Amino acid sequence: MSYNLGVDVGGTFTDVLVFDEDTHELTIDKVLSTPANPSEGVLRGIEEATEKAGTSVGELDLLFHGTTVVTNMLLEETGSRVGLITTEGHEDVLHLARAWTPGPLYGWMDMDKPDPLADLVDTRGVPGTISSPEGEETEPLDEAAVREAVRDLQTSGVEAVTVALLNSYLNSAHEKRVREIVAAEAPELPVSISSEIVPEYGEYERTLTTAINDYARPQVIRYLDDLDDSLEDAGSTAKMNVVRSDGGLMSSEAARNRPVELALSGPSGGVVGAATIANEKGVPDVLTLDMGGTSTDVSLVEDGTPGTTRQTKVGYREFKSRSVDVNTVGAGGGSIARVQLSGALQVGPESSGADPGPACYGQGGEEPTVTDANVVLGRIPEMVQLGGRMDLDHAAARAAIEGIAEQRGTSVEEAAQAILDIVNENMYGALRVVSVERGYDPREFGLVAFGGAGPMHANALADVTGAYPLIIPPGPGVMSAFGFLTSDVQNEFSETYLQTDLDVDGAAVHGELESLREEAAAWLESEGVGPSAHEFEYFADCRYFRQDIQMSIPIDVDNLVDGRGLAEIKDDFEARHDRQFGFSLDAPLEIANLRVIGKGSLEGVTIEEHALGDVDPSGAEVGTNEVYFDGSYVETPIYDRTELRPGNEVTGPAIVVEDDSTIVVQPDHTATVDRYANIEVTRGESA
Amino acid sequence: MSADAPDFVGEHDIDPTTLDIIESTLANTRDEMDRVVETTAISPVIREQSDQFPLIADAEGRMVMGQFGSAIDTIIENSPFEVSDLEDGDVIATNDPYMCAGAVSHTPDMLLLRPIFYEGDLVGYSSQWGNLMDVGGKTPGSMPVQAATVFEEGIRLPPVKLYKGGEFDGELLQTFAHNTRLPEHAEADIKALAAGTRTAEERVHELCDRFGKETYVEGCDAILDRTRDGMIDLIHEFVPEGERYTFEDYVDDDGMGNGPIKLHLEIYREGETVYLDWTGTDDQVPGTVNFLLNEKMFKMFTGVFLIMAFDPLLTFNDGYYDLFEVTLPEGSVVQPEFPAALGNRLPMMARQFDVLQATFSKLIDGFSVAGSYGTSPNLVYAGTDSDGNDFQMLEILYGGIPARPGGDGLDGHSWWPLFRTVPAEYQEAYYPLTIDEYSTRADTGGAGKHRGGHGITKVYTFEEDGAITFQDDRAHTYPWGVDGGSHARTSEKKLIRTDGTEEELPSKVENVPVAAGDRLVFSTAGGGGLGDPLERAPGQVATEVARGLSTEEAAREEYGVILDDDGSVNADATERQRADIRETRGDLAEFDYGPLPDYDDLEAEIAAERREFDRRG
Repeated sequence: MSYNLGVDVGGTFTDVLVFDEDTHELTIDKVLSTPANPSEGVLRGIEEATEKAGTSVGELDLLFHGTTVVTNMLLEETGSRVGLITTEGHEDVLHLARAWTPGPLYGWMDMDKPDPLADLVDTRGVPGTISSPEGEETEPLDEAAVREAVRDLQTSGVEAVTVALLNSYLNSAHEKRVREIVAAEAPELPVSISSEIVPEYGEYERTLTTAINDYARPQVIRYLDDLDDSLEDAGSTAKMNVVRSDGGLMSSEAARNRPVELALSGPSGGVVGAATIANEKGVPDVLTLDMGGTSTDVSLVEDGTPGTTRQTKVGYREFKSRSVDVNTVGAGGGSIARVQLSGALQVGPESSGADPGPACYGQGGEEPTVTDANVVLGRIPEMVQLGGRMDLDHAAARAAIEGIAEQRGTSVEEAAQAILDIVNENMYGALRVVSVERGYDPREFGLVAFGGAGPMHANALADVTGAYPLIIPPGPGVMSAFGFLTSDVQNEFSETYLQTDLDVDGAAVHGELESLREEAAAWLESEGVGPSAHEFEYFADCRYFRQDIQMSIPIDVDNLVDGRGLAEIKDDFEARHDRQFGFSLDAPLEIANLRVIGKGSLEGVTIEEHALGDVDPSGAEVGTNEVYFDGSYVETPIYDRTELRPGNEVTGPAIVVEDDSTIVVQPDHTATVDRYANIEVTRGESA
Repeated sequence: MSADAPDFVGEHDIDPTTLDIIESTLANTRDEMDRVVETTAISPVIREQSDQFPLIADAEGRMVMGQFGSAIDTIIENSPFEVSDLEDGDVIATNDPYMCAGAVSHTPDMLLLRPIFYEGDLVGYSSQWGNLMDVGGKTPGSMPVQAATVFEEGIRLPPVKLYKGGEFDGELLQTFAHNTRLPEHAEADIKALAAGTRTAEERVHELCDRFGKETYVEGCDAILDRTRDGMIDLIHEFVPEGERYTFEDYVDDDGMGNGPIKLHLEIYREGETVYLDWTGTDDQVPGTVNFLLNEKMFKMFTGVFLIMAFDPLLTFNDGYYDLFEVTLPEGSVVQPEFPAALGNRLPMMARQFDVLQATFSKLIDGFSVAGSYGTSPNLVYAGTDSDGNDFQMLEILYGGIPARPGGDGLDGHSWWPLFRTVPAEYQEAYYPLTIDEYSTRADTGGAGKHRGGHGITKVYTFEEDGAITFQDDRAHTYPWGVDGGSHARTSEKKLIRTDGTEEELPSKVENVPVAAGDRLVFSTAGGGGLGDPLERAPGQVATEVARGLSTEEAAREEYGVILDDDGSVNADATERQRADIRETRGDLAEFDYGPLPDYDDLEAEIAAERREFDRRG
């Protein structure tokens, strides 16, 4: 017997999913996270979940592990002390931060700029220069100065060292030499060099990204060491896979070296899981909606593959790391509603958090939140205990919303409905950014909703975007952990190219890609993926000469030499440029970067298919509730999801409740349980 | 409500939630317009420095969303067509400041305006403008320092249709681009701006599809109206009635030896109306620092200041225009007459903001902001490289953000929103130069309880023969401190020739020849300080010394903080030093203008500097 296990370490809860490879059964468990010592909570979750699944830690085969540890470190500024070695004359690169101040005019008056991750006190400039664009050494590295800087930083107490020298993306010799010197002088200090973390031009972003890596690294190393030790003590022989921001997997050894790749480890799982489920169901193009307590992550999946981006943003900092392209908006169940001076209603981004939480939690919260609005409108029935843990305080929810009603001069119901409309609109805005703005029509996509609050708002969003079918997978509250189980071992290898189609041909590009492919293959082998399981994808980041855009164009390598060569890439680029921006130019094509993604798949989970049964859902009906739809209360049936069977059809309006979330089916909609146990909502009568 | 209130004031038949949705969609659209232009433009000035400005207006041409106000009525007035001649798919283009009442204030700024139709009716406009790399004229970059008229500042397009009914006029664009030094850049950037206006059109269409045309139009009225209501509240709460407040400050010079140039502003309120009067401001000058200040844009600046200081959530738009009365004396440096040269209006524009901030600092209790680094310094390096290829680099630089009510100013940051420095690695890859240093100028920000941001030093080594043109300011006058805070230090420029000789340069020069190997040291001014420096926490001063942002000397002399050898604060010595300073210094002034010479001496100094520079030629 063997089992695989996915574990998603969030700020508050750790979700665990155990998959039995023989019975294909999934077991869900949730334990409290332990931010002070994260490995403790993870271990407890793993032990508890395996026990619940009727097995033990020793029976685990593959472990899939995603974590918000790095995200929270960045948001809460609790990382390690980083020393920075940079090129003399450029020591202030992080401090000056490209001079950016927020809009609008006078935005500087209120700007809150955090200190650099590597303090100026811990920054040292060293002589040595590399020419550009040739990449030749024009002044040798001053090794004595490097040695002195390292000793100095070591004495002053830094916990990790970042090396980021000007033009190292063209020639990394100096950075590598500095790393050797650090290793010799201060072997106890982890060190990262920028040419390995981001081999691309742009000194600020490259330095920042590398500094983030080192800011997180000492704690990530400690955490993974602890976790490995305690798993071993518990008798585990499982292979540990850590989930990256782009939804791929890497070994825990690789994670120790590149923790910056974990910055969005958590949210990526949900998207990957949603993509897998929708694709399996035959809906390869979907938007995803992951609504939690404080924020909502949305993304676009095309042809079964989540979109990825090179720009990752966590708080104020925007850095270069590949991640699933999620757009985050401050809209969640805990988002607080306020009436502005002008009378406009605003919902979020402020949130009541987990404590005190919405007024209806009865923990002393008084601010009106989205969850309170849902309670007032009857969308969360009495029988639901939020998170299975607390009773709802209806009176408190109503009192909180009354304040808004008074300021707006409306009824409490109208005020609550307005709060839902505005928060839905904020999420709609986020969905537009990933779809309409990029030239995609949401009506050609489905919508997968999950997260604690997602299923409650999803039908309204499907309605306004026209994205159908709406798919609510089983266990919407643990979608990330599920997604981890579906992930592949994956890494990206890239280089700055900066050549135009006037200067190079398809054969030259082919040669570059081949050497990147070899790198990728070597990495996959080192991650334990044999050559027969290797898969590679090739991309060129294209733009018109000197534009700032970087459109990633997939390349069919076989056509580079024998086929139409770069012309094929250019045509593809121009078509995309025209679709998105409505024009093309008579200008050379510039290839800014070349990338190869190496993948090896692991069979973490199989999605079970069931036979469809009777359409009648009445066996699952557990009562009715007065729910407010379109300006009046309607008596609405309530169903227990665990009792619904594949094939059952529910006519809206209806509420479907389960352990970790509540699904609202709007009037004029039909919800069907499909053969994979998803709830599928479509407009109108059943199909 | 006054009888002559604008027509959008009154009851609005629109559901409040729908209104909120329309407003937030328009706000997002504005951001989206910027993103479209940034990603598709080619000029580093647009794509790395976000120098573009979107707006969405109603059918009357009133800006509903944006931040620089609209001059749509003036543009159409100055065009060969009437509103009734506009068709779906038209895009009007102009870069002539005199044809749009200064909505764009120098020739490199190209403005595109697209009427938006829905079901055959005009429902609004979208507009976007951006700084092109070059529009011809006497210097690369088209911002000459020494020009007597706008004719020397490149080709000017009066308001004409660049697209007619969706058909693009390639010949017109080609004619324009042909007159610039970088025709491919001009073409790409103008198309990028047009794409930005098209984005707004699509979003407005979607809103009309979703809510109906009448609701959308009603929504625009209501958005204007509720901003006006919010502004009335702000004015009543923060602008005292009765008293008149004035402030004066100077731009150094016009780059031709004339200066200092005075800006004088008076602000007072009567009833709901706030009066802003620039009478007393100097006459226009021979050089290029004249600033054709658009009246509506200035109303916008004023409103935005109040909003950002006191209610950052309020949308700003044309709704509050009737609440401000602005006087701009004809023929002054803020309302020059055609054909005065306008290329370097940035020092005047920045100073106009400083003066506005200072006047409000006097007028509003408990709210003060200091003076800033004084312009958006910029540098052009152009020539022909050894392989015969032309090159032209344009870069904007940054200095010290003033100390703010909430804390210190920022070092080497931009007072204009969303600008970013061009990466040194980009400059080195695409242009023949190296960037040897880019650093904070310690101690250049004014001391204060909240200190001013420091200026920066950027050192360039040129690798090809060529010429440089740059403009900066605050080389003679100081960014002032406020409420006991000190003034900042001035800007400086130095050219180090290959033989080691050093030349100090004025803050505004044009086509100065440079040879391969020459180095330019470009240092910008700091921002002024706020509040008594002796009230700054000693520990904070010590940290800044350790970071190299402040010297021990400044700690001792300006902040009265004495550090021990290990860099920590010596509390006893600090207390004594602070007591000494308190005893010997005079009363702290409300404004510290720095050690400025007499007006006549300053005037002579500025003239002499230019004569000396011209003589060296």
